[in-house]
Amino acid sequence: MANIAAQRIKREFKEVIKSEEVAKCAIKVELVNDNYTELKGEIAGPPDTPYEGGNFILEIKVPETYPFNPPKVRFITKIWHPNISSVTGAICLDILKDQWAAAMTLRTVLLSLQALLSAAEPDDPQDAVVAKQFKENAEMFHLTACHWTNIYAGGPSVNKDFDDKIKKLVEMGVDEHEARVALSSYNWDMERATEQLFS
Amino acid sequence: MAGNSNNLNLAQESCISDPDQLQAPEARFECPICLAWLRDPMQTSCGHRFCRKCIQSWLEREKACPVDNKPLDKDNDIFPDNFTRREISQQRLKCPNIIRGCSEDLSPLDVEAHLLTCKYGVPKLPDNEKLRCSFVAFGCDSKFEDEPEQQRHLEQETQKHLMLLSQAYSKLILNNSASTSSAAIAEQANFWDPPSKNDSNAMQISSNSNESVHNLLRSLYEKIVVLEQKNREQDIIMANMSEQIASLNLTVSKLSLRYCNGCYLWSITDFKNKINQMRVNHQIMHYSPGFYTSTYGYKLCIRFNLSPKDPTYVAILIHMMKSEHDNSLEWPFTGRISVTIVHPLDSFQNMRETMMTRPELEAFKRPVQDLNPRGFGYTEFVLIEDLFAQGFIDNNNLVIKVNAQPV
Repeated sequence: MANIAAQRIKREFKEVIKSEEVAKCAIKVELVNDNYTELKGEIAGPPDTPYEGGNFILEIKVPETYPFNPPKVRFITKIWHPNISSVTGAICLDILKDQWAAAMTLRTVLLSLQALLSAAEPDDPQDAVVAKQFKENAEMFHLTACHWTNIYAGGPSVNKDFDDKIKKLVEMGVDEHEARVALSSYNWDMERATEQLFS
Repeated sequence: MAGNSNNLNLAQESCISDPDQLQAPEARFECPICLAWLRDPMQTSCGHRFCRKCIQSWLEREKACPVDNKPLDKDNDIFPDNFTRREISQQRLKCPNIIRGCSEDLSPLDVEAHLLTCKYGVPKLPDNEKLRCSFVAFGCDSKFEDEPEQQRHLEQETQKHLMLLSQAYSKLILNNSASTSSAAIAEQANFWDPPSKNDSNAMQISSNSNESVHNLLRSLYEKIVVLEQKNREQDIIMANMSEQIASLNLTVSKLSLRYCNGCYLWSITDFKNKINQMRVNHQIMHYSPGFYTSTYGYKLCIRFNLSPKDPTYVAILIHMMKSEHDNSLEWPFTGRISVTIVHPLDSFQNMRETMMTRPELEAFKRPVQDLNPRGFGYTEFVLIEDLFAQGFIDNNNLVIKVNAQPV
């Protein structure tokens, strides 16, 4: 790894650890390997969003050309969000692509992601299905995102209706996550989800 | 050079690992790209400062300011910031090795260069200076450069450490028991020679008492198996021998009958009981084993029963018996037969009768059956009550002696 990248990550690491966001448990960074090429990030779901109360784990890969190129970041924790793939966790965020600037840091990236959770950009989606639901059925989107936060990120809101529907599909032999994806994609319409799963 | 690069490594490492040594610059002296002191500072037209190398590298890729994204042209929009350069060069930092006695005051930009040659720098001492795993006492040999590394090791190797702990614990228990009784075990181990199929070395008490106890148990077990096997063999041998003894006894008694030279002592055991039975049933008769007048002579036996005419008397008769040598003998049997009821204590009281054979009687002809049904003797030899009264019955036995001598 280029010396400047490693040196910078070391300094940034200290910056994040000392930052007040860490003190408030809003963001967190951990080392995954010894040479600072891979880190594990964690952000708290922002208040007044469907993600509130959840903790979202991020995979952060630091390229050799850092900070001249952005770090590669994706969600490990499954999340229902228009700009984040519900399948791969890939993030659609300009600063992680063409809008990256060398003056940005791990801390600013994590805070930007937190901001992304507060303010989705459905017109520049990563997950078209989620974005469509976000635009056409905001209430259903909210419930679904809350449910995903509850299941995968340890969020507090339990949706018994959704849980029961998934249980029914699981009893029919469907994988739980697949059942959740199908139901979420079809606004929790059992018939259409079943049709899609068994077609 | 090799030494130098080594030193460089040392200086950087000690600089990074010691938080006190990492003197972060004030924001106005910090390059937003490398986050270090501005080296050869440049200012952009949008008013941001960077190291010359950092901003040049950035502008080779992008055409905007890394901080505010304003468009920048690498030839026209960046200028040397000599004011800042002078300010930084006037800053004075203590050498990070001040705690070890270095009193150098340095420009921030010179710190790294100074550390390469600072004689107060701590050489990265070999193994003995490295951090050890806290489970070193249990056999974990891992060494670390710094505490985070040590911490990670402790988190990742929990399984290994648990195993080391449990091993140490079981060793402790074994040592405990071994230290009190190892001498006894050693003595016993020598005492119980291992079976030949076992390696004799296996029994030696090694320093590893676990192994020796295990070996002891194993050879004890093998010993038991061998002993059980031997025991079984002995049982079989014993059975064979008692069979042999029985058959020898039989042979001996047969021989004694053959070699008695016509003089046979017949001991009637359980006499009272037999008399009582005979009194109830007069038909009961008792026969002695057949005996020979000589080795290849006549075979005869004694018959003892109650007299059919007067059951208060006992009858003692002689019967000729068929033998394998009858062909070589002269028939009818001729000779003298004496019958004696032996008094157990006083031979003067013996009752003795002698009779001569009478060749015209069936009883002395060559027997055609095993036993000639005709006998010859005294049907009223003596009163039963006399036998008891005169003390002939000793230990419930009556002894009758017959001496048959051919002439």
